[in-house]
Amino acid sequence: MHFGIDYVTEYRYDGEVIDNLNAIRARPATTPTQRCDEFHVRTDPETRLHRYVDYFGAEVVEFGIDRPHDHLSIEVRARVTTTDPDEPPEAGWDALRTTAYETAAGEFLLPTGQEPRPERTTDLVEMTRATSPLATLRLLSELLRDRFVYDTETTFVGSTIDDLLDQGGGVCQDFAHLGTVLLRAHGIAARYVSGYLWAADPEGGDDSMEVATHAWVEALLPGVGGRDEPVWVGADPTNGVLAGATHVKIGHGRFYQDVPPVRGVYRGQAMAEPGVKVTMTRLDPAASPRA
Amino acid sequence: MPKGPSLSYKGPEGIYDEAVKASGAPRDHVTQLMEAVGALEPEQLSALGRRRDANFIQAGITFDTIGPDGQAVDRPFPLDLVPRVIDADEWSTIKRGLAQRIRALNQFIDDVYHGREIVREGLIPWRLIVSRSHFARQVDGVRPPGGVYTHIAGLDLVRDSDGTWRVLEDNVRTPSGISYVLANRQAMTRLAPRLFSGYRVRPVDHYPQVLLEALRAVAPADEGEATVVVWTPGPLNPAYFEHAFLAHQMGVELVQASDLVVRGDVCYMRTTRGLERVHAIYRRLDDEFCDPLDFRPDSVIGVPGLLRAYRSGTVAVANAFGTGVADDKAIYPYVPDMIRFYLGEEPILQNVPTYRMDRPDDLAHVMDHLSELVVKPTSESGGKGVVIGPHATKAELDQLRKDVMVNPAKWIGQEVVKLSTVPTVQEDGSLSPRHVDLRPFAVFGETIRVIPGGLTRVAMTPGSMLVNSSMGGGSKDTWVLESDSPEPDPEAADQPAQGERLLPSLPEVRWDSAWVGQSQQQQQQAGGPAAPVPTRDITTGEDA
Amino acid sequence: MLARIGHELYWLGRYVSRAEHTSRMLEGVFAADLQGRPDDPVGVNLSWGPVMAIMGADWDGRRVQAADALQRLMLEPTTDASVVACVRRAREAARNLRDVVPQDMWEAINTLSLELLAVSPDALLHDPSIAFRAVRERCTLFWGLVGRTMLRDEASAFLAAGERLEGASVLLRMLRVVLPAGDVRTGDDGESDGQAHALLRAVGGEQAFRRGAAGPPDTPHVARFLLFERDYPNAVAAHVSSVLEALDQADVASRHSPPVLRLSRLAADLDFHKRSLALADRNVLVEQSVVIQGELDAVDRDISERYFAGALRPTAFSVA
Repeated sequence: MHFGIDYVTEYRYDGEVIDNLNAIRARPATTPTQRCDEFHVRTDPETRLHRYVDYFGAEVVEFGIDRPHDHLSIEVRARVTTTDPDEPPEAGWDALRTTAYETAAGEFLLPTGQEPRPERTTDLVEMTRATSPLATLRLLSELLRDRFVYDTETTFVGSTIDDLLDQGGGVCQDFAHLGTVLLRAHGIAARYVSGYLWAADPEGGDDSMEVATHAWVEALLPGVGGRDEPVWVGADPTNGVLAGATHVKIGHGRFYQDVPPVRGVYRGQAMAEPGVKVTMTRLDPAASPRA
Repeated sequence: MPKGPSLSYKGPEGIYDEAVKASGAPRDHVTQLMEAVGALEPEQLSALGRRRDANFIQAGITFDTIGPDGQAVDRPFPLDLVPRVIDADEWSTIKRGLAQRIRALNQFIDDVYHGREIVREGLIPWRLIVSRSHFARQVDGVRPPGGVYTHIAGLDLVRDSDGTWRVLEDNVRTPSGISYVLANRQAMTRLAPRLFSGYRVRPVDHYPQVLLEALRAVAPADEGEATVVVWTPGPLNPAYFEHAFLAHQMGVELVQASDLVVRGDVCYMRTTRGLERVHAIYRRLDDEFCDPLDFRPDSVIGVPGLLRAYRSGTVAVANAFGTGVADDKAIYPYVPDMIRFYLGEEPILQNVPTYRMDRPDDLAHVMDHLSELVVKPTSESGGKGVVIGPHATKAELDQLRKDVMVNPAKWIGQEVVKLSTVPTVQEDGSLSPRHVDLRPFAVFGETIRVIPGGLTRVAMTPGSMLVNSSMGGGSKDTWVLESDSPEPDPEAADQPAQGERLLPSLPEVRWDSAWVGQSQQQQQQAGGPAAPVPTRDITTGEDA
Repeated sequence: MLARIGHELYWLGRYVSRAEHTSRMLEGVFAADLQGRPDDPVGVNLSWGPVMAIMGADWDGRRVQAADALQRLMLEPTTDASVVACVRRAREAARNLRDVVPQDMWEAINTLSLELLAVSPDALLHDPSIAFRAVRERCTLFWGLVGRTMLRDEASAFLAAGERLEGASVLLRMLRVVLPAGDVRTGDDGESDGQAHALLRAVGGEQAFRRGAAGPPDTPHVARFLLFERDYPNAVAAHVSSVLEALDQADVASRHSPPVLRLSRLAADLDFHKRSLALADRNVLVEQSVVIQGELDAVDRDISERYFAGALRPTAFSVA
């Protein structure tokens, strides 16, 4: 699928601010199933942009606005081509205990220090134990979608997994955080993914719509027969599905703080009112997803 | 005939005492000192102690401690009046050992954030490294100016019961205490100059100069002299005295976060004359507080954008970001392997035998011998959370067992080291053995330079091995003796006398006819040889 | 020098100076109060109520008891304008500057702070001279130490700029309050006004005025003397020249410095007015005081902008 993405963040300050520094992680990643064809960042007030690739492989655009200003807009435009991933491998549980798997898993098997107490998630772990890691991944995505309410009012950017468990609801960020914790509890390496989601009904005919930045998980599933390489497979616990061509990935990390879309700091006593708008446009409504 | 406290002094059984042999006779290099101390009456020692405390309080050389009523009290920094003496040969081994270890640690840090060869060789598991709380993903792939990460290191050394020096901890984040080394020396030369007679003690007061040179050496300044600053979290920091002291001694600005600003990818300080570029920052706060954009977003004592400047290589930060990964007790057991791997050398200084709790066998052994071992959390410093088996109650050990089992990889077990003792003045003026450790300071710029001696910390209660000042520990002036081998320069010895001879006599008020005499005297002076200015090259010495 | 340090020094100067001038003013009013006619509407209106107004403390226009005013302006730590509050802030600034200013200067302020804390309200009312003297002596010691022990560099320049700007400020505030803009018909010209003495005493300028032979001690003469007489160190004109001199020395590019340029113009104006307003009445002088005060406020902003830009801005981080 081809998408155009227009991601605009606007801040209005109720006074003058200076030294406004921001780091943006918004560029669609290049992966086996995804290609970023175009990417531009523009700011108002204008300033020089610096780019680097972070530890987890995401491109970061940084900039600073020194002089006094009372508004800031950051406009990101991208064009991206995605394809559906191959059918994920379904190996048994014992395939998790190979050296090849552990090496590939690296730090994504380790606790991050943001886990709730183990007894809080024991039930969920038991309920999502299935015949294979892949089956667990599917089951877990569906279970989280069904058990928790998608609700933008209950949590905020700094919410913890405990908050989600306490309140029974949250946003994609919270679903993804809980997903990674449960997967690791099963011994499956898992990481947090930040990106964009084309949420329109594929047959619906809408070719442009307002969305939001999205978050889901990737689980490292062992290859079949102990020979194949393990594969990172995306799953979206907010929507209860495996990630496909409608999921446009920006990057991944252990948790949200490793891949925040926008992080900024400024000096001044003015308060900021942010407005975020992500518009996704389907550029090939008629084409087949594999084109 | 020496009288007084040193006569009755004896070292404890089964412990290495640095002043006296098992027979009770003083060790050769300490004999004179013990005699000199012996010549002092207990009352004289007590009086000296009072003067010392008064001086320290006046100079602000104090630290906060929590009094018995729970209130913070400002105490004079506790300096014991009997110095600790290390002879030249011993020191030269320590010095080489430290330099070797620091070089290996520095290479390890570089490796961790670049090629990870030590992991690929299978010497250290990647997962152990990546799970250290001070592993800094933010600086992965960033090589600081000059390739130096551990500009300032303060490794903790202890002496075993047979007198062997061992490394107890590698402090390569922001080790503190050097100001006390300098203050202690200054205080001792003023309070008890007599104790120095008969010894040639190597100076320590060139440290600020050495540090400044090292910082300038790694600073990415294009032309002219690099601007160096000391960055303190602020006056409320317990080590603020040291920050201010070092800035003052180096003659550089002592900045706080609000004084620094990053524009583009360059770091500046705000001065009354506008922004001035900063080339090197000696920072005295942990990574996670340094830049709210890249580290903890809630840090208000950080400089936003500093990491960007650092990544661009426009500013050197000492110590570099991410050094904490080598400062972790779980990494410590691997340091001897690092030395072999990176340097192809055998370690000169040994570790204390340590159990790695991520290994099932080690864990089982520690669990079986909790009451005989020391157990430490891996990512704490300053003695926090340390449990000393032989001194712990059953309840404490039970709690420890639970805590460890939650996440064994966050702990290590160590054999108890019976720290060496040195004679220490008690309240009544008599001498009694107390356990000590040693934190020597090394500065890594173009080369590694180790300051002779270091901070000797003393456990002030008999038998105790807790030396941290937060735990009521004291300190000692630590003397490293000049090596005897090079003959003392006879000319150098004469120099002060010559200088004195050539100095003109002090001018006096003269009346009437004396005017003539004075002008003649001036003429004579002008014709004579110029008086040599006694100089000392403070930069020579400790290059390893 | 770091902008933050310059800023601290400048405010250290201002606070010490404010404490000193406030105390001296209270001393003058106290003396005037003892001699009666403190709020004579035709003379110099220098009594407790207006003094509260001068220092920006609440005053609703009603008569204020001496005990109350003294207590509030000397010892009340919660009144921002009180001497004790100024000394406390000076002490805080001095503490942050312990590595910059000589130890003795810190001790002078610290000792004064302790001495003031030791004065009880009763003791103050019984004999305020003890507190007045403590302030006078410690502040004099402080400024003496600045002159004797500090390097003539930026540090002492900012300290002096703060001191003298504050001196001018307090004086102008006094003049604006005590010279009631009113009816010229009260015909004070030439009037030998006892209250003019109170004003002079409140700024410690009696002797200088007499020796300067500036004219009869009536209100317009005293006011003109205090505004324009550059040879009297505690006149506005002298303060302005000193601020100018200090900044000129601290600034490497003083010819392009907004505060320096503004001060030069102001100093020239004051010189000019010394002659042009030689016969001006009190209304004109009150107006002048307002104009000069406005200029000094602008100088203060210029100084902050040019030298302390970063430090003065309120800093708050916000992270999205």
